[in-house]
Amino acid sequence: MDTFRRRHPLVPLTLLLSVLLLVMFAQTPTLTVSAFLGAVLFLCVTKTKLSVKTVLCYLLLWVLVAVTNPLFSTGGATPIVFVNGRPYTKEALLYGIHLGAMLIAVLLWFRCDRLLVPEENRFYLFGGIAPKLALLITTVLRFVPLLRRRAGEMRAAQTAVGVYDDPDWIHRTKSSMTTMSALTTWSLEHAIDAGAAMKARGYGLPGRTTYRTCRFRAMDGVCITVILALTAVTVVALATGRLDISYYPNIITAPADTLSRCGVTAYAVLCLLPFLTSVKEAIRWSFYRSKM
Amino acid sequence: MELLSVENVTFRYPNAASDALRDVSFSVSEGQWAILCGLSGCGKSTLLRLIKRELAPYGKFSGRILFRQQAGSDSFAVLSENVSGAPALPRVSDRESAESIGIVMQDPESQIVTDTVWHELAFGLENLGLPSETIRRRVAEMAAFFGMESWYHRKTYELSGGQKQLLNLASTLAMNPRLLLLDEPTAQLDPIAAADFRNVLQRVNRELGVTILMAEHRLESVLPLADRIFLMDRGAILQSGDAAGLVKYLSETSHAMTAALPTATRVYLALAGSSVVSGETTTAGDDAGIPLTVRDGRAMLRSIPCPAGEKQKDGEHRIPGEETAKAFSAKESAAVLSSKNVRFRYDRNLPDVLAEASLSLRAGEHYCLLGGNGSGKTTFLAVLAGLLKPYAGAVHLFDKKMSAYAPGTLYRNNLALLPQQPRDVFTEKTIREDLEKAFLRDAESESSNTMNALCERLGITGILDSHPYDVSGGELQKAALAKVLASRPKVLLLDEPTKGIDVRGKQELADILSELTREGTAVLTVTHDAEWAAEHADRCGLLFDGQVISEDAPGAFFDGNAYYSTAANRMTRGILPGCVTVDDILNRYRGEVPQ
Repeated sequence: MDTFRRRHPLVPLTLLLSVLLLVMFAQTPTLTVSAFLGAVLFLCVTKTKLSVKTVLCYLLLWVLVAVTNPLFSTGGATPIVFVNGRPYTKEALLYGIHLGAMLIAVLLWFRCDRLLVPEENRFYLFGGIAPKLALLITTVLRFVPLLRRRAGEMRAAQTAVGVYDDPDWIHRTKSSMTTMSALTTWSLEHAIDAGAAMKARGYGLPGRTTYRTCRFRAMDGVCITVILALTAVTVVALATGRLDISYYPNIITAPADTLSRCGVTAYAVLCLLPFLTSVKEAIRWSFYRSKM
Repeated sequence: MELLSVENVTFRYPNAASDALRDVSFSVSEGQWAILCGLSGCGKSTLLRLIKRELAPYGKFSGRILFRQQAGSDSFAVLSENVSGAPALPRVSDRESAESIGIVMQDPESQIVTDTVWHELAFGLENLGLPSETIRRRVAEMAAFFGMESWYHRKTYELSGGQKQLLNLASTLAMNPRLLLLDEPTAQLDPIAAADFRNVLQRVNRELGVTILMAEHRLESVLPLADRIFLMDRGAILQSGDAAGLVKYLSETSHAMTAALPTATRVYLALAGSSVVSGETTTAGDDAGIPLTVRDGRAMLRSIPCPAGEKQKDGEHRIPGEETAKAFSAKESAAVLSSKNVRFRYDRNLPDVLAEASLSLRAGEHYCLLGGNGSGKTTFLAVLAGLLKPYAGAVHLFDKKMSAYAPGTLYRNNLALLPQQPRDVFTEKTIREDLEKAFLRDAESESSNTMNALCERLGITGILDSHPYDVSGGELQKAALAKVLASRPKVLLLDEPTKGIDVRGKQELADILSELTREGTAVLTVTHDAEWAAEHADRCGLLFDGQVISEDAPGAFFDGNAYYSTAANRMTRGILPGCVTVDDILNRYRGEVPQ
């Protein structure tokens, strides 16, 4: 994972976009499985702990999508049961299972992305494209935790002077609203102060630049080229229909040939890149340690 | 060579009845450390904001403010002017003003713009339009100079107050200013963070040669550092010169700021008024002899004869405040608020903030709880106020468990808490509306009469129609106290009430609290202010490692501590045992000092 964290943020972004766009447009089970496994393996090797709640949520979502799809789509040829006279087909169920898996693969990849990009580089790319927006984001990120803390402090202060301590809930709700309005006043006041602090440090002078902390190195170029090359192979396989699949009325997949195998393999490599680099690092480090 | 020159500046805020600044003229030379001192509301901040043109308030301005364009050049340029007939000078460009004059204000929080430390350091440099390579170098330099490497990648909201203020200073200095304006920069910091900040300022002044103009009303620690001091009062400069000049002026006019002088100086002044300090230590003509630090003070005390009878008493080591301690131990039974072996933590996976913290507060006493930064004082106060629930141990108010109080009874006529930010208790547009609401809830009392009487007593009738954000810190503190007292609490909890308040405000607060305790209210104050606690508490305790330790009367408490003590105690240690306040020292010379 460090291999990606060290790179220019454009590298993980290219990878994420390639993986996600391909899996969503292709709708092919082989690609979905690759994306799913790539994410799971990477999360395992980085020892990322998902809470039980999150895993349950994912599973629930999967089951929900799989089970409900046949209720909306009756296109399949093999009915399992009839619900209100409508067929509940095997093909629609399989499509639902695939759809759910794809959804979860996408969610897992967003989780991986958090590990691949250091948090401070999250909005880095905006700085180049939209410096104003980037500055706005950083000030908002600064303000939100502050606002949350102030809200807590204000509530505690109001409680201790007996404002919330009222058996009457209407009165308590009213008090909550007054505290909210006081918080708004504070926010405006803070905005004025922050504005003054910005002006004091020369904000508003013509010719503002954006501090670029990351440098685009030759290695970043190589990484992006590799990612794009793998993507291109898969795109060619997709565009020529070698990975097509149709679910209704019967499931028909395009016959496998060299190009389709190349496409699937290229995509699998793409999805496994974070996992493979992490394993490589782990091996390298244990090798270094044995020498120390 | 003068760097900044302020000439006949008069300023009036719109709709104000009088001028905020009256014909102010002074200049600051390159490399100097100058201090603007005076009580709150004397115009210090207004003056600094007028010099930092980007922050200049709206209003009627006359006079002019000049700034030397380049280091070593002969020519002045105009920052602001409104005079007729003066020779025309070039105007300081906006870029020059932003770059060469930096400002750090009181509130560490409100000056931070971005979410990460490194971005904050770079922010001003981005505004100046510098290329990334230059920014990288300057930011690295600043981080190294301030020793910020370990928190360079941190989020700004995770930093402590002291770190936030250091960050504000560093990100201002990254722009390479020649003049640094500071508006009570340590007012919101605890004593240790404040001392760190002053040390850094000293390095900035000595090692980088940055000129400093600082507004400050607490002189104890900054006076020895200053090259030049301007005393301001009601918008005018009364006195300018060095520390000795200021001390002389203050003592001659018995100005209110005398109480803000360092302990050693105050003792010196009181003794110099009598025959105790004789000719060889110092005379009126010998300015260098005025002690400003604890070290100077010790030298002074050693050089003068011991008070009569002190030698014989050496063996028994009299402890002041012993009598009060005894008086209170007699009232042991009358504990109104008590906590027994309270344990608290914010999260299951976090360590205990309070571990077996026990404290009992008795009716009519003023208890000061001291403790280092992050020792859990505020948390303890919240637990005692019933805002946080301990996971072990119990808090009793009038021998009744906190949880046993029905909604609507605990904070009525029983207990009240004044938070660290007094503005937090206000929700309305004017202080009057807020107070009226608070008093109306108390149906039994003839609310308007009680309210007027209380406001009269606290001296806040004049500010009732102001917005809570528009009054000074001391005034807001008193107004918040009025709101808190509306429920007529028998137990009053205060969180850092002296923070950022000038000497006059502190004295007024102490007077109000002593009146309340005389009426039987129990007051518990959490504070960093050892001097204030030594003078005004009945009992003191230290919160350390989650426990209340070394509980005692202030005399014994501070005399028992070697470092966490008052300046008066550190000054007299081994010379006059058992002194913790200036009055203690002077009482030893009673008979020799005219009362």
